[in-house]
Amino acid sequence: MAELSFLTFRGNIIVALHGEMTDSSVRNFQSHLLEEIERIHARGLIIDISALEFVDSYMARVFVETAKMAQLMDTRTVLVGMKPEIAITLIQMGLSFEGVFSAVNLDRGLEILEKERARKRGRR
Amino acid sequence: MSDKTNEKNKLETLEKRVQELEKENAGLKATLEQEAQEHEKVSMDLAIGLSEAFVVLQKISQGDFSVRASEDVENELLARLGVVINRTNDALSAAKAQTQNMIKELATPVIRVWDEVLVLPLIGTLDSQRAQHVMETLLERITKDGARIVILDITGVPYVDSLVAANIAQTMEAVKLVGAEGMLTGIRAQVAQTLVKMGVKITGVETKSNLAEGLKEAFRRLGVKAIQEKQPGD
Amino acid sequence: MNGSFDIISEEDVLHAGNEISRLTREKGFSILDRIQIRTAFSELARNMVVHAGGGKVQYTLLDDWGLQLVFEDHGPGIPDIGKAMSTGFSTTKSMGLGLPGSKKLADDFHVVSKPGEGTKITFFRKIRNDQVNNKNEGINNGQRHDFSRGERNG
Ligand SMILES: Nc1ncnc2c1ncn2[C@@H]1O[C@H](COP(=O)(O)OP(=O)(O)O)[C@@H](O)[C@H]1O
Ligand SMILES: [Mg+2]
Repeated sequence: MAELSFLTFRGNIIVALHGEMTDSSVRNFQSHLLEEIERIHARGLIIDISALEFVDSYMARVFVETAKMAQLMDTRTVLVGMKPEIAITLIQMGLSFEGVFSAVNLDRGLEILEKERARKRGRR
Repeated sequence: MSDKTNEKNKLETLEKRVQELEKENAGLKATLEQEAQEHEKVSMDLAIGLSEAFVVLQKISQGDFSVRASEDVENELLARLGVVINRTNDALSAAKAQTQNMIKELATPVIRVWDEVLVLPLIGTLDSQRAQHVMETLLERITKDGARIVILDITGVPYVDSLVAANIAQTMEAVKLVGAEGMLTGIRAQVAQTLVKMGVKITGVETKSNLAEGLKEAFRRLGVKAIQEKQPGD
Repeated sequence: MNGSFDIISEEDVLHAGNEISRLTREKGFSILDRIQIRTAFSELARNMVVHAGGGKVQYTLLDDWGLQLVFEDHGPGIPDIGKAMSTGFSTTKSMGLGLPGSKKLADDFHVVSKPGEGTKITFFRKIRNDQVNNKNEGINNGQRHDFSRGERNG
């Protein structure tokens, strides 16, 4: 499995997935990510999937789950750079990504996290 | 005596000559027969080859480009004809594919009306093949242009079936997944009826009565203000 | 062109999947075709590993026509295919989208399964020559035979 490296930017964790992931490396990715969120008290999480060749129902489930778990730790998740063909495939298979934010690129992803943070401050 | 011998000799020579001529004649006859046979074969081949070529041409004229004329035949003329027919066929089918692609592109005109705002006005009835093409084209443009807001205007679509309705709903969901906000404008009465009756859910997508309202909403979201400098009639 | 892969582990799913991706790329399938084939492959091969302890995939590439994948295992089989094919049904508390999802990505799909004997799933996907990303644009491949919609057995 490819090494995962987390980047931290303004309190957000940025992680890029690439190449090949077996089911167990996807599971590993999830637990490492959550530990890192806890360790640095991340405010936001960006998962860049622009280099993934495909996303199947297992990976999709882990993304949605991770976002929900992060949410419980008060961290918002944005999925960045999903290929159009992957989006079509997942939708046609009947997958739902409720509760997960998406962005076309990293800039937009960070922007969404900023906005969410401002919204939260406003509520307070 | 010598006269008689002379006569006899002459007669013998003549007889020999006749025999020779007869042999020659037989030879010529055989050659002629052979040639006649060969001609017959060639014209038979030609007839068969030509009628095959005509069948192929007829199919091509009906728009069936899957047919091929045979190029690998003994008769050189037919072989050349085959090559010409096949070349024409290739050119025609390529031209047809190109036209079809052009029509498709024209039928899905994705327009960038503002920075990060795309509009796709659809006109005419949609079948599921065209709806699929719309979905692919639109998503491709969103990721390429980094669009924020996408307005699918279906004012020009008078009617959809349940398959196409589901396809529109899927398109709007996929738009969200790649990271843009989708908006649906100009839903006609018939279309609204189909959507609800078929239980097609279009979740989390803003719908506006027409394209102008959609654009206003897009500008509001982007924080763009349009200022009218002069009152009309001033 | 045809061949087969033994699928025992998660790594096998990945390696065979990469091979299928390479083949479909070489054969000029569009990006959408390739991604959808790869996704269905991943779903059905994973099912063999997770639910049947492994199996075998046979592929047949038919030029200008499509790709057929046959997944065959000697696992426990599927007692109620209709149930297994419905969205959300899973005996492992997972998504339950592998079978119904793969079917939606196929032009032809059928499942044959006998409890105690194993499962055989056939997936067929046509080459589409009308897609945005198709490399073969401008070339008409002529008449297509329609793969008859196979009925579901078992
Ligand atoms: N190859 C197989 N052998 C035995 N059972 C299978 C096989 N593939 C699928 N199944 C059964 O069908 C169910 C549905 O499969 P699927 O739709 O892929 O969902 P999931 O794998 O998430 O459970 C599985 O939970 C399993 O019970
Ligand atoms: Mg599965």
